[in-house]
Amino acid sequence: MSPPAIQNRLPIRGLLICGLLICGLLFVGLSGCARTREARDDIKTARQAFAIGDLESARSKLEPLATETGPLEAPAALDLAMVELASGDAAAAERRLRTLRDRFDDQPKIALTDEAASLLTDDTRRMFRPAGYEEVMIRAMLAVCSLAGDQIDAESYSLQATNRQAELAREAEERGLLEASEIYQPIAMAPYLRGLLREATHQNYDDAQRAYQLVSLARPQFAPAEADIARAVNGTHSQAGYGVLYVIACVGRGPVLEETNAPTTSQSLSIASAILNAKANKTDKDGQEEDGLAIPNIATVKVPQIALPPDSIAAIGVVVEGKLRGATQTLTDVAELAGRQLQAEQPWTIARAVVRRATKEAAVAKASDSLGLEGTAGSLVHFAAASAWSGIERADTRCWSMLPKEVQVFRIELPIGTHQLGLLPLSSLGRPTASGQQRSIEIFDGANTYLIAVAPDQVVHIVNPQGN
Amino acid sequence: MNYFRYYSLATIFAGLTFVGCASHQYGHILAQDDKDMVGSHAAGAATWNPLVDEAMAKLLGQCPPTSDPTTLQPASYQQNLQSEPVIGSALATGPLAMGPANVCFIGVENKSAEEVGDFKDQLYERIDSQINVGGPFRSISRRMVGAALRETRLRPDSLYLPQNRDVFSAALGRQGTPIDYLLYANITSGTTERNKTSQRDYLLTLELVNVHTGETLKESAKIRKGYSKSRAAKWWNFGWFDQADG
Repeated sequence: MSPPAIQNRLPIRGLLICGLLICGLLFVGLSGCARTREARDDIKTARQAFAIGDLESARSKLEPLATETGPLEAPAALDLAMVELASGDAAAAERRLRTLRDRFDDQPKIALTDEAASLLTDDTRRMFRPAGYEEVMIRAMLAVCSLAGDQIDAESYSLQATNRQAELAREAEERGLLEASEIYQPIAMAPYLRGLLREATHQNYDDAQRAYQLVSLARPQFAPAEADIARAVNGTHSQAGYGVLYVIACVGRGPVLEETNAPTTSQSLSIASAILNAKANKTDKDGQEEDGLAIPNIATVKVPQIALPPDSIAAIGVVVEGKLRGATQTLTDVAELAGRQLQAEQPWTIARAVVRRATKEAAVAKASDSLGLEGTAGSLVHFAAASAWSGIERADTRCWSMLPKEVQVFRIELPIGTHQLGLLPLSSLGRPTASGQQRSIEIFDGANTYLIAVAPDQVVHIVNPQGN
Repeated sequence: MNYFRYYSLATIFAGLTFVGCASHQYGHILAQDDKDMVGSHAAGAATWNPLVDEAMAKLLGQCPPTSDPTTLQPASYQQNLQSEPVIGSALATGPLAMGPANVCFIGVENKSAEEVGDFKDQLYERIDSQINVGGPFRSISRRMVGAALRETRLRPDSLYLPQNRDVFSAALGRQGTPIDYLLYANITSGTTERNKTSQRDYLLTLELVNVHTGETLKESAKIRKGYSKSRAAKWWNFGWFDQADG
């Protein structure tokens, strides 16, 4: 065979190989995505079922995901804990959250294999890590689970939540983050729980005072904090012959992440440039500088964005002996926390997407070069392969999606004895949107009684067992 | 750049370091002679434990044990008896007629700049235990104290007032645990900043109040701690270079 004939055949063979590679990539990518897409659909279905109060359906969708190793295992387990709590099985929710807390604490700071894999695929291959506010919320929800059950570990969990919060603040400060206040997000719920528990000892008003002052700092809009501080400074837990009822409610449908296209900002491109320069700042064996990866001309990348599912509940009305005594007030706005967290991370998310695209394009270019593809055919193959590879990318939308939109509380002093209590879902206009739930509660002298409610929308679930 | 070589190396490197990066936690039991850990950002075991031991030793040292249980009284009280005539019965004005005095440990109040966290309850238990170690005092149950505070709805700091003290003592008396003394523990701190290094003085004060006479006995212990961002800063301010004095 003459040399020109060989030269003519190489591009055809190269094209065939490239075509097969593209098909292979698409097949692997799409088949791998099929299971993940199915799992994502299951989570969406579970979320809908949870919102309308169909806890059994939500559980049946989440349980297989929470026990199956995969990228959605941890988020599904977090959601399942919320379903268990709403179902009244606070002990199971506590066990699950405790296991997850330990697992997240044991996660390596850097999982290089996952990071390398995400460079070739997308961010969904990265190890799921809860956001800072989610880490605090895990501990705070553990305290809530304990309050709904035996209450033995509630104080420890509340202390862990405040400690974790302090650690996050310290870490943010030590890293010298310019926007540390955005990354570190104090959550009023953690110190509030600690405050109410310490106050109930009748001996540790100083601890309660500190905790309530932290609540006031973290959420100045929380009006009852002023009365709480005044009580901790000068007052007492409750008047003689009275006890205190705390209604702690998870109200509304919490934020979820959805995929969107975001423009590449100058901040994200400069981060990407720094990463690529660090990679390219190498020399070959002859002492010559190797070619670095160039930032491709990318207008938009796929990133997660916050979406708030619609709901009609704004607060929970507390009815004692048939009389409306007040409504729960927002202590922690989870939606706001999630939004701030995502905003702080957005430049890095976009930068990772840009670096990933640059790496993929460079790899495709090198492959087509080594196969001898040049000219129009080479460009076509390059374009097709790079587009196909990048086209299967997805934004990382994993999150703890069944957290409530807001955690709200209501405190009321009641005479000792048994009381008939009703919880009504209220709209933003203060009108009841459904009939709510009734429960009889026992108030003890000088002690706290906790009523935990989960109300993603119009259905209010009371967690405590009957008669507790 | 040879990308295949780059990614092969990266994968091997990743595989090797994955094991190294795995964040496991291990625990072990400290021996009795092991040193307490010094907290890097706040007071810890190395601060609180000696503070309690020293303050309690000083307080109990004021009340030397005697061979006769009927005369077991704090030294200051004995001095008081010598200096001032006793009016009324011993029970009405003195802490005890027979046996050790009953001490009601009200609690630890934290007025320092730091959150004491889970140490607070341990400090309580440590002090409470030391009251009972062969001295002239015997503490009453913490649960009793809590129950009496709940019953009377009195704040611990309000018990300094004689009328509140009487109400509180009466509540405990009704439960079968008459008291002679109230014990308060108070944590305070003082912080001195010098650029990125700081010194914090921790003071634990124990205050014993005779519920019959209102007389108080006060002892305290202090520990000073330096906090630095680096070892060099520690050496510069507190170590070889001794620059902390300016």
